[in-house]
Amino acid sequence: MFKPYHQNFEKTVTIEFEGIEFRVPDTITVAAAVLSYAGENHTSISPVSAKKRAPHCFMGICYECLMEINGIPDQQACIVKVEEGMKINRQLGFSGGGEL
Amino acid sequence: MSELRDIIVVGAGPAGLSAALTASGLGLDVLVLDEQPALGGQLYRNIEKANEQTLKILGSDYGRGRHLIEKFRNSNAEHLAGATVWNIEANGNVYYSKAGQSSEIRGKHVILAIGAAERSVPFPGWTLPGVMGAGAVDSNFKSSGTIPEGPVVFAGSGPLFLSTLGHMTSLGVEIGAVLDTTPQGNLLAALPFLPRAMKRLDYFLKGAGMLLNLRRLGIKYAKGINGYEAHGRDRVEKVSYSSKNGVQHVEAGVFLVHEGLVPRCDFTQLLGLKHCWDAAQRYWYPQINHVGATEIDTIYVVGDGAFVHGGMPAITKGSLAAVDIAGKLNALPLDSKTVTLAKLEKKLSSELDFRPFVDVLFRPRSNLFKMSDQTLVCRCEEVTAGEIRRAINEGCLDSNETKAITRCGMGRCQGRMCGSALNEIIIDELNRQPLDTQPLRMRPPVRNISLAELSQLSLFKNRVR
Repeated sequence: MFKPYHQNFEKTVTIEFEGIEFRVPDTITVAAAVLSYAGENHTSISPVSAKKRAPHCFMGICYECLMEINGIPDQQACIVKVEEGMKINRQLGFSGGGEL
Repeated sequence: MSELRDIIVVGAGPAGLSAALTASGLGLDVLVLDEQPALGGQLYRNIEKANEQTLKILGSDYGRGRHLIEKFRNSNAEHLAGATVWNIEANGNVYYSKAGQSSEIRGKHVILAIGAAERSVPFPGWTLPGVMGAGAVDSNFKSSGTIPEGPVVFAGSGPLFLSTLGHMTSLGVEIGAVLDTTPQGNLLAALPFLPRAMKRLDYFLKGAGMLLNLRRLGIKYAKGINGYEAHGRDRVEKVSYSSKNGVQHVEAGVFLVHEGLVPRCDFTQLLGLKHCWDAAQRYWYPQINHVGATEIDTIYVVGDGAFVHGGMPAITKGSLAAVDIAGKLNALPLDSKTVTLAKLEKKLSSELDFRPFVDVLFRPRSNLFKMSDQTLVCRCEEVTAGEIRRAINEGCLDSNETKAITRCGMGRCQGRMCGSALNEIIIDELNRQPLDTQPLRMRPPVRNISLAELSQLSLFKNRVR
């Protein structure tokens, strides 16, 4: 859905999205990394209708970017910066252990 | 960290940074809390790490933020990044979450510099992946250096719509179509404000240059659009749009919408402050005086969160509040306070020369919130306009009652995305005036935190209620 415009970043880090490693610039947010470097189009599944969802506002308002980061659910991927070794998963439905 | 500060500023955008560095320059002890990972708000997002290429493309509107942030860095004001404020009380108590831990802190004064957000307008297909705010994608470029993959279709109206469009063309983004929703009668209505606006000829030239550039690039540009829908299975694939020529379609990989900016009133509403209604721009804004003071002595509101005026006025509004507070806290003698405030007010007035014209020129279309019954209004709980209308016809009289019955506004975004639309439906169905309606009530925590975090909240040792 997104692609890098330039590659001249000073530092990169390695993150893991759904078990696959990606090298990404260290300054970017988790949401940006997933939608560009990991080449994905959705970041979560709606707990109500099970439809695919992705970030909408990129500034922490819409909560469409909620993802599981380092085992903790309900993290706003659009305002959390990537860190070395970060493990990221899509949020599938309810975070509290509920099932779809 | 000390528990009691002279000023707590919420938000590190143009207004917040300006308020903080002005107050700290006058010897006050200032703490800035901001939920973003880097200083700058949305306008100057990530500017300290921006490379020359980015600065060149985004131009001086972005670049001048470097100077502001440099001054802030050289001041004694303290900044906490990644600190999400989730409650503010009238006595100056502020509660925030950082790295999964919540704390309480207190300011003699609290300056709310929360900023504006893109107006959230439901339409069929707006929950599909790939449907985003235009300004959202502009902000995302600043912090990530990534651009949307085409064909990108733009729909909407307003200054930020045009500036984002300009940035995306400069970045070489493949643009499928631009659907301009500005009502065509607006220009005539805005003419009385033209003479004052002409003082800012540079803005006119910039806008005209942008539109000429679209023509030069051969980008499809449609005016007088009065509605649109996104279509697709797992992401947006196609956009349909209507005008007096009927309904047309265009292929889309990404669909960027922007129907203007509105002040973020979460905290001013939480605090129970009086709000006014702007009929031209159709939004609520907190009632403040000329320096940003509210009816609660501790609380000030500055920047676009007080009224959408843009970046430069936000900087001046931030300074006004800081100087006024410095006067109250005896950090500034009365005569120099009066002189400084007068100078700042004069500056603000000239910075606003363009605004009345722009606010009428980009007045939203009258059918903005005339959603079909099938349209999802509440993205989180997936409540349709039809379900909301049914609840109203069965007796619900305001947003809060309708929320209780339908769950519209009860999800993870806490009504931030659907609140305006919900209230607009009530205005329509019950034939009310906006000022006679009660929008969704905000309650703490205003942002989502876990129960575990709430139970471990570190409170003051000597609490004052």
